[in-house]
Amino acid sequence: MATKDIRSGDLIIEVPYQLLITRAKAISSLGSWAATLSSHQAIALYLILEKSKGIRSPWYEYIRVLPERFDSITSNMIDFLPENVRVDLERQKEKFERDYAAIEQLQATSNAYNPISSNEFLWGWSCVNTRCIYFKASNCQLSFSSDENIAIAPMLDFLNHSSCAKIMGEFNQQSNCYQITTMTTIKKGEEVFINYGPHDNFRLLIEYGFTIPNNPFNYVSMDEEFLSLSLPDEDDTIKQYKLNILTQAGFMGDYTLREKEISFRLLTALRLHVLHPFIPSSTHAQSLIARWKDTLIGRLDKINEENDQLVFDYLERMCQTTLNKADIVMNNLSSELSRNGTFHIYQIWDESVEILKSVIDLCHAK
Amino acid sequence: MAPKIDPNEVKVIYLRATGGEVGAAATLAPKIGPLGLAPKKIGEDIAKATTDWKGLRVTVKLTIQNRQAAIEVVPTASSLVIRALKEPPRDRKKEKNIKHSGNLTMDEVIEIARTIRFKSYARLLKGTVKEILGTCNSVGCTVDGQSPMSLSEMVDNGEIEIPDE
Repeated sequence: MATKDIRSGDLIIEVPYQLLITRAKAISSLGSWAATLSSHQAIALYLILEKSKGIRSPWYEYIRVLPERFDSITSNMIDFLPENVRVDLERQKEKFERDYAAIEQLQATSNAYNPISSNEFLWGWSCVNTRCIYFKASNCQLSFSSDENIAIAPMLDFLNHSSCAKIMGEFNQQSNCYQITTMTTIKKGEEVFINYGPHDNFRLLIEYGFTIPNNPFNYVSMDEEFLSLSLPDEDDTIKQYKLNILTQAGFMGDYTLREKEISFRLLTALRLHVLHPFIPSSTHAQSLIARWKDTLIGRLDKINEENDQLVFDYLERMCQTTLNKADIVMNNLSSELSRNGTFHIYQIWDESVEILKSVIDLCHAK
Repeated sequence: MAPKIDPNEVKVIYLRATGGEVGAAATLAPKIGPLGLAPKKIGEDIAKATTDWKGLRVTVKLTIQNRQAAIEVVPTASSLVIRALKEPPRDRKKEKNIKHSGNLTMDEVIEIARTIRFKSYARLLKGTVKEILGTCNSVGCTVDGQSPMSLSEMVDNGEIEIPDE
């Protein structure tokens, strides 16, 4: 909570370099045997080993205030998630398994620490995943992906996220501190929020375990619906032919809907998909493809009236199918609402329904 | 993996556009098409965001976060100078190689320098004023009825006082 008015451009918090936990520091403290670990693995292991030291650890006070356990989405909840979220969650699980395997293997070969249970590692791993900030490793010779540029900044990680907060966070070379500056004014008595990034509720739920109301980045993914969409008596080879064209043009996947907004990618992909009847070898089909390519670069608004009408008809149908799916899931969920984590899943479906309804209205208007 | 405050989550694109006009979507498409944004819609949004700059070439900053674009006009010295000349809007398609032969007051130049101060590397406002005078020279206008170059020299040897801020 702000104890006084904070003006735009004021520094909210700074954490000196000495207090940041980076991969380099974790490894130098663990020992050279840990040099093969990634940032995520090394910092997680470091936290776990420091935790086991109890009061003798210099980080005792910090580790003491960290959550004891993390409510991750349990396996029986996975079925309630939208398909795109499920895929992301699976990917995250795989990453965890890989990281845990690396830690176990290192334990077996170096014997530098006692075996760590999967649950213990999950704690450290989740601490890093939910609390780390982007921190560019300055003298990193290895060509790591951007995932490697992370650090834990104690205290700073207690600030909550709001999509309204405008902040700037970066490492200041002069003062040797990681600093966060607010770009908005905060009145005395208000909670000081920071912005974790332009995340939708799916991402927030998977990575950080929460959702926020009125998230401006929410969307509904239509990838699954789009790919399962088939036209009456259309050959699979023709469908594949169209999908190949989409892939070549770079318009494959990432089809989204937002409140009263259909993404350009989805519209474009649908325009091609609903061309029917479609015989690839005919000159008529080729001229339609040429017109479709003109819509890509904005030279044309639509392929033709008839195609445009079909696009919205099919889109409405797709939305309706997704709505029905949402209905079933929400019905099943409401009986489990008391369970941990179900609240957030219910909320993302609720928001998806709102978006789908607004898009159906949009289709009617066309 | 989602580090907080990851600058890579935000994509920034700069482009030059004519204020208040819906440019050819074809010029936007190669830049923003791959990012999943509708070239036509962005073109219209840019026109809307630049209505204050009708007919002038301005630099537009597109900030793209999680498939959403925010548009803002970046003040540039030449756009600010030309806007301050208050020339009647003209049709860029009919008139080519436009010459700007107006006149600005020194106060206007200092005001522009203040606007542009945040991206100038000059130590004092004086330096930024000289930058703007240089832009006036290249644009072709005069300041207080004199050539910007001679004014620049006068700023240098202290004949014209420039406030520090």
